[in-house]
Amino acid sequence: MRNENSKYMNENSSASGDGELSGSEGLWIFVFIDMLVYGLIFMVFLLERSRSIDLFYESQSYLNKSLGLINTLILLTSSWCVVKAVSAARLNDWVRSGRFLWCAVFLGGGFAVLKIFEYYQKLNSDIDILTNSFFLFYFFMTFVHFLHVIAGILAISILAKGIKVGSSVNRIRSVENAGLFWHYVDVLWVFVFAILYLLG
Amino acid sequence: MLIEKNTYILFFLVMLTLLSFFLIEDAAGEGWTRWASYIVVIVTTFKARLIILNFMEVKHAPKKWRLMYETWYISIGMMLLIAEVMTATVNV
Repeated sequence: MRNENSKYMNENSSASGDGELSGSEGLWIFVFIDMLVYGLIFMVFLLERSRSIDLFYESQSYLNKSLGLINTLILLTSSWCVVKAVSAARLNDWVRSGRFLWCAVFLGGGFAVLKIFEYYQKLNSDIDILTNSFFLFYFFMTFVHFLHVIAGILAISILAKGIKVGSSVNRIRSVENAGLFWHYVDVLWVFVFAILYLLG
Repeated sequence: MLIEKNTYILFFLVMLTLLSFFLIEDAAGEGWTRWASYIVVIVTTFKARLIILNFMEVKHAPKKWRLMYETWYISIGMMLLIAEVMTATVNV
């Protein structure tokens, strides 16, 4: 899927001489730092779980696994839409790229709506962040991820709206940046879904 | 119409997600829940690998970036696996 259009990236690539970065190096650094922070959160969760195994497993049974599954499928599909948008942008097909970006925004919106519904269900069942340590982690991890989703939706919406404005090189880089961040949000959810909803 | 590699990857990711979900659902209350958890950890780590290498295009990135990103998901996967094994040991 990479083509001649991505050659401009050589200037911004790392000086190691092998391979090219898709998007800006600054965003790669930001994403990696965020990854490390989430890695620490996962580690603290697992340590806490090892101290209250029964409580964590019992609390997990109150989660709606089906909603988690649907949200995972939604995010995976939206990630694919962004892959297609990047691919189209590199071919200078801005109409197609814009359409795929809007598809990703629509799916991301679907994820957000389902997540809000899930929070509503929990709060309606008198389950909140203070219920126990499992739900403290549940609300914290999913809400921070939810904020990432909202940030991604906003960024992709702004990008999709102005997809035909600016130099081709900058627009391709912007779409690649949006893609990098959105895929990261997807990878995070893949782990959050497994840790909170499935493993036990 | 030629289907792109990334579309196949999406189908594969969906299949792996459904496999993890139904495996855990099926194993609930059965004697092999622990083994199902191990499989889910491995499948989840593999899904992360597919997304990071192909969708994020880390496989085209300079070596240092590839090393950093690959180290991350492998570390998380190992951490999960160790946690599951230790939990099983405690339960026994």
